[in-house]
Amino acid sequence: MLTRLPMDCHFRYCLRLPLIIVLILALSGCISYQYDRYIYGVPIQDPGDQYPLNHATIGDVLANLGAPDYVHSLDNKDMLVYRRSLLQENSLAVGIPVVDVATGGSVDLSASGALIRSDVLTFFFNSEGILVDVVFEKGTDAPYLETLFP
Amino acid sequence: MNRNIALLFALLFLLTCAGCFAFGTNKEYQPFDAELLTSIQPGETTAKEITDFFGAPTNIVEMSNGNAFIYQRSISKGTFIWLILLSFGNYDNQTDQIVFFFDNDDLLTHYGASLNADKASYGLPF
Repeated sequence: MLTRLPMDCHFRYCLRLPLIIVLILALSGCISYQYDRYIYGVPIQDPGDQYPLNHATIGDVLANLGAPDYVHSLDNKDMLVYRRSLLQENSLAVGIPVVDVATGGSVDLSASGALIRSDVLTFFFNSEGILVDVVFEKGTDAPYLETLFP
Repeated sequence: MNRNIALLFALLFLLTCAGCFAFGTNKEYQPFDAELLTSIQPGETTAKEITDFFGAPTNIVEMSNGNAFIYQRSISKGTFIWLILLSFGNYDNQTDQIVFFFDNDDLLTHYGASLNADKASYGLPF
């Protein structure tokens, strides 16, 4: 003699099974999402017209902004570079270990993306230490997704 | 039955939560002596005196009209959170940096100091 489960009970069992499978997969580390952020350096502000070309000196810049992150020399010019970087990394991994038993192989899908955006302020000086050019780029304001997937 | 399943889930959850939070610090650091900076005078202090005060520089750059000695110390602080499906990490790296500029006679012309290593902090990535 066949016994049938009541309708609401049957429905609950149908829901419970996939829920348990998903939970087991998740708990076994088969599905995971990771987000990491790295920050290097302190915030950098746009200098605007604070340092007039052909007047400001390397001493003025060092007195106001402190030590640069990088120092370079090229073509008889000296460069002071102030930089702040922000790295954001996302990764999603999905694995189904059940396939290991059936085929000997496994399904393992993962995707990750890392994006580094930087604020860079560069001063160019002539060999007398007089400011000849300033370049500022605010890279950390760039939108995350549009920069990652142009 | 329901109670047993709830107990099983609670047990699994507790097992998964083990080691959920971690904090870490990475130092390449010994603090600069601020007193020494006050005794440095552009036009008088020599490269030899700077290396006597601060030791070997981290890096030396040849400039158009002399050299630059770079001293750097850094501190990184990391915060990590592992949940069942999600994990997050936050790393903050800050530096103490001093750059000394010398002319071709090894006399100090300028210097700049940025002491930000103590600003490295723990925190969430959002």
